[in-house]
Amino acid sequence: MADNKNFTQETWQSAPFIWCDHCLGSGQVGGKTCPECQGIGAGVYFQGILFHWSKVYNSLLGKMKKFNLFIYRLINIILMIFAAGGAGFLGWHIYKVWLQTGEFWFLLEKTFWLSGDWSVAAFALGGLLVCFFAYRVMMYGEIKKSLQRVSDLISQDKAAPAGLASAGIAQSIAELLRAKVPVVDLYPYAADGLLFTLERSWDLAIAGKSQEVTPLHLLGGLLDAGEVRLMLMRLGINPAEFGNKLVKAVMLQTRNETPNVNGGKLTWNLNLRKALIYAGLDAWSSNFRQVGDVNAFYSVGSLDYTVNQYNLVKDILEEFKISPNILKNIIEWGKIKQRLSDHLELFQELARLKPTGNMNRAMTSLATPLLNNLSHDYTRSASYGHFLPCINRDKEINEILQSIESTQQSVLLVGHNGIGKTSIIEGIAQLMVMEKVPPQIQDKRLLVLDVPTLLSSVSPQEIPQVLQQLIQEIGRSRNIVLVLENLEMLANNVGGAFSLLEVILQALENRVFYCIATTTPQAYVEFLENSKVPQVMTVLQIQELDIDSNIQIIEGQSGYLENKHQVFFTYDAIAKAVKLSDEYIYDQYLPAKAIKVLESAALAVKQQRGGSAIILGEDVAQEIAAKTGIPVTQLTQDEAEKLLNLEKEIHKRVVGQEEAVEMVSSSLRRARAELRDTNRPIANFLFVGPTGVGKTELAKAVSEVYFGNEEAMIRFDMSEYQDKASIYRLIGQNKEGGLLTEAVRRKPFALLLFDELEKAHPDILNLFLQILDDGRLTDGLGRVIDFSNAIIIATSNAGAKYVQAAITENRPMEEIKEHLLTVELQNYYRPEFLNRFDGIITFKPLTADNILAITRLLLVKVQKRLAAKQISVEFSEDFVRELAHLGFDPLFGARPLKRVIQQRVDDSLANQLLSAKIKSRDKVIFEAGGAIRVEEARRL
Amino acid sequence: MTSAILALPRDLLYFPIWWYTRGLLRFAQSFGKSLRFKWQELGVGVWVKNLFVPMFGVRDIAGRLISFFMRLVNIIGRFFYFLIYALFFFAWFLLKLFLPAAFGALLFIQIWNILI
Repeated sequence: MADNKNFTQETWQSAPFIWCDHCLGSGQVGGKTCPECQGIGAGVYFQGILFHWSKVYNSLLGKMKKFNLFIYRLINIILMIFAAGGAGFLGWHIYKVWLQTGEFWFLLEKTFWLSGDWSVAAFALGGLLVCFFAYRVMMYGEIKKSLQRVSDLISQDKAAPAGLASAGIAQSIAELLRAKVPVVDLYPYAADGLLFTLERSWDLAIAGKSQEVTPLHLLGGLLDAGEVRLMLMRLGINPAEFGNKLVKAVMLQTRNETPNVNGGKLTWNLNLRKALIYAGLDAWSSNFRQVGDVNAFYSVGSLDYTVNQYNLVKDILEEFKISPNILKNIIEWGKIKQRLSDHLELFQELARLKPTGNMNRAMTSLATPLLNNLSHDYTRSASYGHFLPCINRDKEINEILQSIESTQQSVLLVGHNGIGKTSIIEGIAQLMVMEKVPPQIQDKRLLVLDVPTLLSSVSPQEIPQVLQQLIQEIGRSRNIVLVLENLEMLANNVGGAFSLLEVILQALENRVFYCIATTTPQAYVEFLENSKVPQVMTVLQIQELDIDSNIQIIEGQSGYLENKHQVFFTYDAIAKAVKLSDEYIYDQYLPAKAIKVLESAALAVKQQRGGSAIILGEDVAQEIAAKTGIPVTQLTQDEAEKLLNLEKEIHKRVVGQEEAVEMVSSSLRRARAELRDTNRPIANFLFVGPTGVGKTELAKAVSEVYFGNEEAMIRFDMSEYQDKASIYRLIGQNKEGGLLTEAVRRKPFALLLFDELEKAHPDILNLFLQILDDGRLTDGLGRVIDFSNAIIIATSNAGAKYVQAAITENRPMEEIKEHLLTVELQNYYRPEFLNRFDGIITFKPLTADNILAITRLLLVKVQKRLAAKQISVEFSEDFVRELAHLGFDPLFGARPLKRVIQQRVDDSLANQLLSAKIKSRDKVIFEAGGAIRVEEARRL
Repeated sequence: MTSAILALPRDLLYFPIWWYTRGLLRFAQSFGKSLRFKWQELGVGVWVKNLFVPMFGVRDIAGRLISFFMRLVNIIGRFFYFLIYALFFFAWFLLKLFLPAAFGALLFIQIWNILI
């Protein structure tokens, strides 16, 4: 489906717009044709041709055109009525004569036809009118000339014509005319639809009391064009809402117009002419026959048309989030459909010539009964239209065909699964149907060998024999191109002295037949690279295409998918499926993974919203969020509030350590607002400080508050990884994944906690260099695991002794932090390692007040545990202070407090419960000194 | 499109000129395209190219002889079939070409005979 021009859309968009200074682009001076530019006014000089638009198409012309069309059709109807009348007259006359004579032989007599009868005359007139009608129809088709004829004007010699100041760069229209460059008026190539749009634009300008018709009015006119409305719907935009904005923009533009320009007479702004000329260039470069609404929409939306210092077209498109890239892709969608439709016509015509049976046209081939049972005929399927067109893979297909033609060798396609290798082969099948392939593979069938069936249908001992038989059948038949998908399957199977692969390669080396095989990069390296494959076959790497190309591939398949699932995809759904799956699904490739996501979204939405549902971008985002656990959907009100109040929520569980809580919360907010570097983890923190002050507790709190569950955290105690070999437990080896890599692979959006980091072996710390900087790690299976959606928190007690000593000496906290970072930590970690953390946070020792607050938090947990047994517990203030006092140790943090509560509260409650002194609905009150008072509930 | 009403008399005058100039060219091109497609469809050229190539891969002398004669018969038969089609297309081409002239002449004769 590629354009056959040797230039790109970017090139025509950069071709400069030039206008005549004498007439200021209007083509007229004082009511007469401008002598400088001979009435051309303005144009674009491109590929050696001066393109311009001659006619100002106003609503009068539009109404005349509609009237003419009506008259044209009316005349045609009248002609046919007269023709029918003439035939009717003759029929009546023949009937009358038959009644008289009783036979029909008179019809063969000259006298009947030449006797001078009004009915015969009427018939003859009718016949003439039919011919005249046919002439009118054929002439009307000819009037609409094809834009592709313009290509004949392109000079093969790209040097500037004599007379131009410098090669290819036009100074003025007059100069171009003097140099006698070809001039093309794009107006005759305008499709009827575009002309009606221009008429509507004119009417809009009149209604808005504007003095000039501008690109903004053209955009308004395009709003009523069917194709443009469909594009807006695909973009999820309500055309009525778009129209309202447009009206406001027109009013704003009108208010800013220079008064009395053109003497108060409505005319076209120069920018409108510019927009139409570029629309023409877009149509030409896209191999369209005429300039249509789609081209005008693209031109208006993608170039700069500042009118009176405003570019309101751009403003409206931006307001509806139609960026130039989105516009390009949605326009391409429309063009793809057009090209597919044109291609289908040609394909169906040529497919009639291709035999669908086993025999080729020359009848030189032999029957292949064994092969027929073990293969799938792709050329037959292609003839019957079973394949979707292969889009954006023309380069690869041409490479394959050129390789076959030049080297006469078979081809091996190496690419990941889901990247489009099968689609390429289907594309080749379609070309073979049309015989648009090198002579070596013309008049042949493309058969895909079903290797799994071959391997499973016979015993292992019989496989080599069967394979030899197949090769003989193919060789004798001489009309087969064989496809072997997943070639490594043959390398794995040994048949006697040789592997099956060697048997095939021997046949290929002897040029018994042509083969197109596929494999993955890993399988190629493992099984095929060191075999004879590179010598016998041409190896072609098939790469994943870029985002826009994948979007266009899916746009091309959208018709099939929509029909299959009875849904309607918006552009945003397709774009999000491609972009989000590219970003968050790592073990699969585009376009297959995007198609899978779209299909699951379609199924899910259909269940919720019924058939004929519209699949929005948000539906796709929800599907991806469900698959990966990563929150990619739009922020809801609740989630936004949660993020804004994250510190408050975390402090319900963590006392003090405000700096740490604030840093972690900010990083989460940045991540969710999509304002971070996506090539690194969401955030990396190193918490250092004395033991028992809340480092691990903060990580648990974040896990609970943000991820919904304390268990959502992935925790590694680095004291278990003190030897060098333990690195493989983390990343895996011998084709096995590791604990760390598998955990992140399954749950990419998670909090990773590495406790006691200083105890890990130094080689393991080297792993972290890569994780913290690039957010990537390769596991034992060679897969790249993505850490860019993880939050990494490492805790360390490094320098704890110094901190304890410094606290005892009452040194200021800032001094302790500085010394810790510059001296103490350097003894454990390399500077480049410490440098990679977003923050190294020193946790402060807990104060007595902190301990009191923590005591209360811990006692709340006790209350919740007992509430589950319907027992309420109260603690007197004195008792709480007593516990806090007993549990406070500035060197060991809050850990002693937990032991104290366990002893003084949990143990007492356990004894009371076991001895039945406390029953359901009772109230237990702890008082100073550990005394317990039980208020029994009223029992019936 | 200029005024459809004003264009009518111009079209009436131009119609016979167009029919026997550009129209003729167009009919001839259509005739040629139909012939080419039929030739391709019948595959006469393919059979001629493979006249001495044995059919169904049977390469012994008997097979080659039978193959040769089969192909010869096929070529003659397909060519004959093509000729019939070509004649039919040609007839249609001639009909298209002479239809206006025939109707015109018929009309003239009728009117002449009626009036005279």
